Amino acid sequence: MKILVVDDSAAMRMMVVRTLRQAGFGGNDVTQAEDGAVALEMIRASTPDLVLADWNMPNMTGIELLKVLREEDNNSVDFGFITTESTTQIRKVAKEAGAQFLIAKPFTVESFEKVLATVLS
Amino acid sequence: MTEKNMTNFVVPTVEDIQSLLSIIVGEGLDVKEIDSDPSSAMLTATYIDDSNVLVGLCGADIHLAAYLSAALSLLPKPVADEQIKAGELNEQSAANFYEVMNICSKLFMSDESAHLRLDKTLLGADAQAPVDELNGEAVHKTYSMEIPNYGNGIISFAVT
Repeated sequence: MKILVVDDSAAMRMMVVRTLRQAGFGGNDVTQAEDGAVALEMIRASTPDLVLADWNMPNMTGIELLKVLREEDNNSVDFGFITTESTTQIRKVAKEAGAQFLIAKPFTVESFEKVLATVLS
Repeated sequence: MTEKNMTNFVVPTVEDIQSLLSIIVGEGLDVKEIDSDPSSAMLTATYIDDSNVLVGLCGADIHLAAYLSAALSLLPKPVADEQIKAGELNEQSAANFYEVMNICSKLFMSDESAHLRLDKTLLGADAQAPVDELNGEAVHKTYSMEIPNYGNGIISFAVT
């Protein structure tokens, strides 16, 4: 499966990729984007099976990316957030916009296993 | 148990810090509140509200910054000790420190509080300016932290 990891921090992208591997999802084809705008172009060129996006990013935030995908592009790609923004209100906004899940930072291998097992099965 | 100030942001407690940062550094994180001047921090993270106004700070000494940054990437203690000796973080550790400070933004918020987010991290002489800017308007607390397998450092929080 193709997974796109979107985060403005190269360090965090590396940690997400590492945690995917530790959680048993290392066999997937993982690509990276540094913000929502870059991710949008990549998705329009070739839709992945899953997008894992940060919330706060320059140029285009994660929630802006999701809204464009759902409302303008009519793209139903599986989409989840990995973010420090994990209040009840943020989770509600994410769900209403069409996100399948939200993993809070700091995350654990177990949180990846639990959430992604269903999505990537 | 969190402690709230007048503007509804949260001043993190020992329990808040242990609960959040233990996910990064593992079990055994020891946190103690101490009486210390937050302006002694060598590295400062600034937090802004939804109007882009500075509302919070997190400061760290070089020891804590190096150890937390190393723990985030599972780097060995000697890597952090080298940077402590040099008095500055290398590029990877500075990026990791930014991420730890991003995660620490959660310590200032609850479901009932206003919203803030990390703006930037400042190192060295630049770290003092936001401390001076917020000084007098903020509630602050300082903590000593013993990070398992790494060492001890100082972290402080200030919020308006």
